Amino acid sequence: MLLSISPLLLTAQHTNDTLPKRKLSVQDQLYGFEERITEAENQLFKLTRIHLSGYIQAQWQHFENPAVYPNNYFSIPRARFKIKYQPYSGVSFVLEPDFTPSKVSIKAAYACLNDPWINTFALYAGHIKRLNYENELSSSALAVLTRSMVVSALYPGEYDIGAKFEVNPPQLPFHLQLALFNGNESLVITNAEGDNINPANKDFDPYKDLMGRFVYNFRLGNIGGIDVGVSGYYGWIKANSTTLLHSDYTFARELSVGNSVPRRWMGVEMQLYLDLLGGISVIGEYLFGTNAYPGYMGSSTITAPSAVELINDTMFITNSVTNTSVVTPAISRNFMGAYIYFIKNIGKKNKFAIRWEFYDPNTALTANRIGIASFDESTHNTVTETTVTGHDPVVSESDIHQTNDVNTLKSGVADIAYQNISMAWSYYVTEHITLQAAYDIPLNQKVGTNAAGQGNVIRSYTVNDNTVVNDYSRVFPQNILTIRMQVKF
Amino acid sequence: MRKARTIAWYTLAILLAFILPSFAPPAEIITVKGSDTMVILAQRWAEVYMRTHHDVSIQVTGDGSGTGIFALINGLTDICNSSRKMTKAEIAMLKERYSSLGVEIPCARDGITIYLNLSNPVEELTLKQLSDIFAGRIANWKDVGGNSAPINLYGRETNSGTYYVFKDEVVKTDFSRSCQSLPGTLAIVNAVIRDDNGIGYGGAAFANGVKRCKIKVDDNSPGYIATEETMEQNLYPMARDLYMYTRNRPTGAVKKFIDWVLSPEGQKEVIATVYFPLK
Repeated sequence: MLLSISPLLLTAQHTNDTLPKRKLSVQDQLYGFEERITEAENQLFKLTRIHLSGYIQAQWQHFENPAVYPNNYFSIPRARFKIKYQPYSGVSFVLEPDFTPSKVSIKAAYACLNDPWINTFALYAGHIKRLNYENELSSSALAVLTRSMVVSALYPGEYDIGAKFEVNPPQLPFHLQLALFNGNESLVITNAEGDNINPANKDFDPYKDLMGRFVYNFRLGNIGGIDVGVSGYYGWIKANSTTLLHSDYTFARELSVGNSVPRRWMGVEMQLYLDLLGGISVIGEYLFGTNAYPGYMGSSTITAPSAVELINDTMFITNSVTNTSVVTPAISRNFMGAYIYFIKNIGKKNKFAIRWEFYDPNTALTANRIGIASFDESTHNTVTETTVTGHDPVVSESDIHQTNDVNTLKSGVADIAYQNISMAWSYYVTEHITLQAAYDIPLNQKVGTNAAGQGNVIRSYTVNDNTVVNDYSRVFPQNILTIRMQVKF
Repeated sequence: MRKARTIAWYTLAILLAFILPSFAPPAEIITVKGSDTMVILAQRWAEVYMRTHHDVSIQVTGDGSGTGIFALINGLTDICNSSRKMTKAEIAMLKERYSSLGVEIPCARDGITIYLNLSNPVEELTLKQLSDIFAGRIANWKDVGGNSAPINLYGRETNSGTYYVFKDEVVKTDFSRSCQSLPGTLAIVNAVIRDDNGIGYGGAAFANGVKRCKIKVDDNSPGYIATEETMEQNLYPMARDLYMYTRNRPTGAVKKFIDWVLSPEGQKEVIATVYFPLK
C-alpha cells in the first residue's frame, strides 16, 4: 500500500497546490484505499470459510485367483474432493464427491452443528459414516489399504443417511456417538431376476436403525495410551419373503412381505499406542451378532396346450397353466468377525503394518454342513380345472391350473468363513505423497466334499472360453498384490 | 504364480531403493516450528543453546501453533511449539500417522495481554467487556470509559494458538467480522501503535510501544497486568502454559535440548525474554 501511495506523494510535491488541499487529496485517496481494502477483506473473509482437501489413489493390482480376469490392472479406487464450508463458528457443511472413471458418487454430504459454548455436543445430519473405528478412519489413512471383511460386510460403502449426535468433551477422555440411520445404504438386495432393488438416496424399508459407540481413552503414563470402546447396532430390515430361516437353514417362522427381520450386533474395540521404538500400535476389534438377508419372491406363468380332441365338430383344447411361485426365504445369520493390526513406524517416513482378520458370516454352520444345509419346502401342488366355452363355435377350451410353490434356500459361498493376512509398507515421500505396497493372503474355510470328491461348494467361471472352478473344499489361490500411489492435498 | 512372485520381488527391490536412504544417520539438526507467540523465546533458547553446543543446529520458525502441530503430525518438524494444547482431533491424527499420542512438555508460561494505543485513556477492562468488544457487541470506546471513538479490532489468524485460547476462554463466541486478522503478534502490536482506537491481543513479551491493559475478572475485582508476581500468584486472569510437543518421547539431541530448556539455565532465558518461567 505504501508503494501505491508514494507516487501520489511525489505528485503532490510537484504541484502548486496549497498544503491543506494536498493533505485533503491524499486523505481522500487513503479513504478510497481503506474502502477497497475493507471490501476485499470481506470477500476474503468469506473465502477463508471454505476448506478444500482431497486425495487421489492410483494403483496396480495383481490377482492370483485364475477366475479374476484380467489378472492385473491399473485402477483408481478413490479420487475424492472434500469441500467444507464454515459460515459461522460451530456450523459446517461438508460435501465430498468421489470421482472414479466409472462413476461419480457422493461420499460425505452433511451439515454439522457444534455447540459453541462448551464445544462438547455436535449434531450431524446427512450422508455420514457409520459408527465403527475402522469404518470412520479416512480411506486415505488405512494402514493396509482396505478395511477388514467384517466391517466391509456390515457397513458397505462406509456411509449411510441419517442423523448423528456426538458428545466429545475437549477436556474429558471419552467420546460418545449415537446415530439413527436408514440402515440399508449400499446393501445389495436382489429380486428374483437378480436386480438390486435397494433404492439410492431413499430407504428400502420404513424401519430405522440405531447405532451407538462409546470410547474411553486411558493414558498409560508416559509410555502411551489405550482406547477401549463398545459399539452396538440395533436395526431391522424388511422381509421380502414369506418364510424366515434360522442361521442353520431350519424353518423359523412364517412372515408377510414387509414384516421386519432384526439386524443386531455388538462390537468391542481396543487401540493400544505404545511409545516404544518410535511408535507401535496394536488395534483390534471383535464384532458378533445377527445379520439378516430379506429374501425375495418371484412367480412365472406358463400356458401350453396339453391335449387336443375333436368331438362332434367341436374341438376341445386342454391347456396346462402352470403358476410357479418362487420363494427364497429370508434368513437371519449369526456371524462373528475380528481383526487385529500390528503397526510399526520406522523413522519419520516409513510404516509397516500387518493385519490378521477373520470373518465367519454364519457361525451356525460347521464347514462340513456348508453346501449341504438347506431349506426345501416344496409342499403343496394344487390342481384346478376350469372349463371355458363359447370362445369359438367350434372350439371349447378347458384349462388345468397348476400351482407350484418352490420355497428353497441352500447354503453356499455366503456362509463360508475367511481368514485374511494383509501386509503393507507405506513410504511417505512428502506430507502429500505416499507410496504403498500391500500383499493380501485370503484363506477360505474348507468345506466338505461329496461322494465324487468334489467340494460341496464350487463356483465355475468362464475365462477366455476356459472354465475355471473355485473349489471351496481346498484353499485355492486368491492372493492380491497392490502397489498404490496416493496424492493428498 | 512364478510371474507374480517375480513381480513381487521387483517391486520390493524398487521400494527398498526408495526407502533405504531414509535409514541414513540423521544430522544433528533440530527443527522447531509453531507458535508465533513463542518465537522470540524459541529463538533465544536456540541461540544460547547453540553457543555451548556447537554440534547442534536448531532451526526455529513461527507460523502459528496450528501450523506447528500440522508439521508435527506430518513429520516435518522435531519439536512443535504451541501456545495451546493439542486438540483431541489432532491427537487422533497423530495416533493414525505415528501410532503415538505425542508428548506434551510445558516449557514456560504467558499471560495473554491486551494491547492498547498509548493515547487511549482506558486503563482496565473486565473479561466480559473484552468478550463484548471482540464479539462486536461493544463498538465504541465510550461504552468502556474511553473517548467517543469506534473500536478497531486486531486479532490473529486461525492457525494461531492464541486465537483459540482467547476465543475459547474470553470471547466465547465468534470474533466480530470487523476484527482484522493479522499474520503475527508483531503485526498486531504495530497496528495498535499506529491506531489510536486500536485494540489487540497477544503474548506479553511483544507488548512494546503499546499500553498493557489491566484485566479484571469482573467489575468488583482488581485489575492486573501480566507480571512475574501476578503470574506466580495466579492473579492474572488470562494466564496460560506454553508447550513443546514431540511425536515420541524425546531422545538424543532433541532430548538434550529440551532438558536444557527445562533446566534453570533454560528457564533463566524465559525471564530474559519477558515470558514467565514454569515455577
